[in-house]
Amino acid sequence: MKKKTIALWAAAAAGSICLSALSGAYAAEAAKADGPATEWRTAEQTLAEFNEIGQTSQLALPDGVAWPHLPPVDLSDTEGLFEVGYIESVTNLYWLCAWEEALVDASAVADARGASDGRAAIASFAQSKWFVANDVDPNGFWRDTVLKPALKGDLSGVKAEVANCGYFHQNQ
Amino acid sequence: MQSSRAKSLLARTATVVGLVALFVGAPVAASALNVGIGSYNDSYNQTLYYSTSRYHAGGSGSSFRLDSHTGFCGSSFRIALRNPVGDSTYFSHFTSLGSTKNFTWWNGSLNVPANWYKVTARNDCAGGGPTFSWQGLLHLN
Repeated sequence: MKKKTIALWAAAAAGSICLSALSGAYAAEAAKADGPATEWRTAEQTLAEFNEIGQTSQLALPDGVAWPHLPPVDLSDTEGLFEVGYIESVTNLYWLCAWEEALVDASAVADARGASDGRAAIASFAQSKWFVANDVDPNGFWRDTVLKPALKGDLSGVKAEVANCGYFHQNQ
Repeated sequence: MQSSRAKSLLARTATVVGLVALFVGAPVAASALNVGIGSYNDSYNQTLYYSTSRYHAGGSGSSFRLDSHTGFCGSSFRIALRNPVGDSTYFSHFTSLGSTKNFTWWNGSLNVPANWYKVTARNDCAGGGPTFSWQGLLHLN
């Protein structure tokens, strides 16, 4: 009887810990996803932040590429509110497009050093603070379909993504 | 002796429960197809542009399930995906908890191409109302 009681207690306690851990994991995902410690800026404030990208960003673009001069179209919604970090997101994806295009261009002319720099840059993207902190590739699909093949010389995924880099191309 | 057997039983029970926990937990962590997201919406009928971009591998089936909210104002809470050039899926309308809705384009297509997407959300309360928080499950391919 005592053993059964102990076993039941142990199972209940372990189950409780298990459930707490799982619900805790869900809560942690929620917390690092889109809030809840969300702060908002107006379009005007966000535009001001956008205009300072060149001075504030720590990211290095490929030679000959400048930071965007055209604001993201979202900022034309003057009634909208923009989460703090919005421009950081724009900046990081712009930077990725810049390096993906640099990699494709360098590979097309057999520029080994340029291609190596491009591969190193997009590989570093998956290790970046922004990438990790925001859980931007929760399925791992970007890493599986774009990054990993590129590091093995298959640029099909990178080229497909460059074709989607509309905002980057608008600014070139 | 009894204490030793009880400890052994306890250890075995804990091991079994631990294995079950690993089995149950592993698919969630390994596939990570679903991301729990939550935030709050302002009280007016403004579009809120969230900052986090996530990669969607393309195809149909991307969806959002509203799991909880503290009482949105207006008739519904709306959520959509937006790509880097500002193309937005149709705003899915949520009026009740637990419902899952696929993201579609305005022409009704379920095929959301591979790209990085941000979440945008808005209320249906032009007249204003209390700020509320929400939480749900975002599914991306």
